[in-house]
Amino acid sequence: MIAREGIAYCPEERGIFSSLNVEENLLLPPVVKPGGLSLDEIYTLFPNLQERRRSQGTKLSGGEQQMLAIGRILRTGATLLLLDEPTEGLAPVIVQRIGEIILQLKTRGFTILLVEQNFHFATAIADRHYVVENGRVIGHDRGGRRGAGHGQAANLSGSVEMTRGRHV
Amino acid sequence: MFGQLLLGLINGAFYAMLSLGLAVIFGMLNVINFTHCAQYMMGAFAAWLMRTMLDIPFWASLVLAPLIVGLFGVLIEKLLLKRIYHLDHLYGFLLTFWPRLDDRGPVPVEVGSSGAPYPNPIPGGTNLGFMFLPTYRGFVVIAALVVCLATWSPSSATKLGAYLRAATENPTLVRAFGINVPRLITLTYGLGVALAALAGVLAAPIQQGSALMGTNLVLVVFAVVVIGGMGSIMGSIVTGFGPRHRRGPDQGLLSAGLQYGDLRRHGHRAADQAGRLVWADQMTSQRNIGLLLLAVGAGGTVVRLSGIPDDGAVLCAVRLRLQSACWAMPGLMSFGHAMFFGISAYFFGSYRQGLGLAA
Repeated sequence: MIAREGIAYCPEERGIFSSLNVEENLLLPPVVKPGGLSLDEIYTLFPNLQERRRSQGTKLSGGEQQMLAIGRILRTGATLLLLDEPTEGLAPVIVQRIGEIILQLKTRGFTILLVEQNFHFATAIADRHYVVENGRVIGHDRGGRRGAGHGQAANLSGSVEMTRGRHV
Repeated sequence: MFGQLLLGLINGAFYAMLSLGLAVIFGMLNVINFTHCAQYMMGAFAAWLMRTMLDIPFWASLVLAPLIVGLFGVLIEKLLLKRIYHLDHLYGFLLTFWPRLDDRGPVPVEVGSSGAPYPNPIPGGTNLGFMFLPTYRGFVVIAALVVCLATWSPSSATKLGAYLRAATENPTLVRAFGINVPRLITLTYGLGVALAALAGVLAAPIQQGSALMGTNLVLVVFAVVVIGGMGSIMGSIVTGFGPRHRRGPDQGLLSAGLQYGDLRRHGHRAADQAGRLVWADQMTSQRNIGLLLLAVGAGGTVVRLSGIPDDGAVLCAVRLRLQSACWAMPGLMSFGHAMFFGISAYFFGSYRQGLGLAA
């Protein structure tokens, strides 16, 4: 089973369970390896989730749901996180917050595979990125350089970025 | 009246347990387990067989029979049901139809159609003043309550319950997290079947196992599950234990109340399902009709309690009309509609009889 290899997936539509409250959603994915964050650590990272811990999962705002979806997979001990369009439909302020969180996760040692339409967001936080159009890789770059790819941004159908954290 | 109430409660115990099993299976697997009442019969017969052939006492078969029949259920799930989950639930209904046809099969050949006698394990009774209560039946009610609550509380409280609810909602994602969803489903089916068998073992001393014992109950059990809200576990328990028979307006009250509560809890989930957006509109109008039913039922109950001579027939007719309007909506299984209409007609008729009106 893929999850047991230590790969965790955060789906594009977030996949929050409406029949579970926030805390149940957080506790649902089983721990497959040691080294995941504890529930308290997740609440420290996302204090607004702690406030709403008894709320029904789908009653949260889009940004909060995204944080819940990311927080959910942090507990499992997985080291490779697959994030599918985490900033989709979110306000710029929240997008910034998500970016900060991903950077924090990077410093904690998670390896993150990020699929994003938002070129600026992605290149700002990625160590390496690949630009994909119609299923073909048309460009790649290292680091947060934006200048060269800027003109291509309007024609993009999607870009894939990798951020490699330290492996503990 | 209390005597009637208690008798109703005793009968209700079986309905509650059976419909609990059915609701658990439907809620989780989206399969209408039509063999449910045959498995109830199998439970009774397993107990009888164990007693006549192996001299196993009642209390042991209370544990063994559900295990055996449950295992048989697990086999059915693994070999047959697993292949049709992606289809409409009517296929599940059709598939589970075949084991029910054994009222012609080996069972009546073995025991005859009048039934297999099973001695009462707790003989004697107590005089409660308003009625004489056989001790065994009292035990049955308590046992059924315990079992029902024991099944319901995990599904709303614990981790396992969370897994079940999440897997019902989005099994693919739950599987992606590393939870073995197929095994969860198999075990859930086995549990539902075991519950039916348990009810059967409990029924053996009362009902004398016959091949048709399940058939007599099946219609009401399905009505209970449908009223309680398909997939709603508490709804099934409450409706099973709740008032039936000569209580037209009360029936309306109970069913409307449960329906409303269930719609509130599950309506959002129904609206989330892609391609079934039509449900959202139906849910709203169903909710409104449910509210109307509630009002009618409440009004009827108030009138009856206050002793004002009422034309119960009118109330029944109104309730019936509303209920058919509600259930006639497209998207609800035609099976549920037809069957429920039949049940309503039965209640209506018996109420009229009770009022002394022409049949």
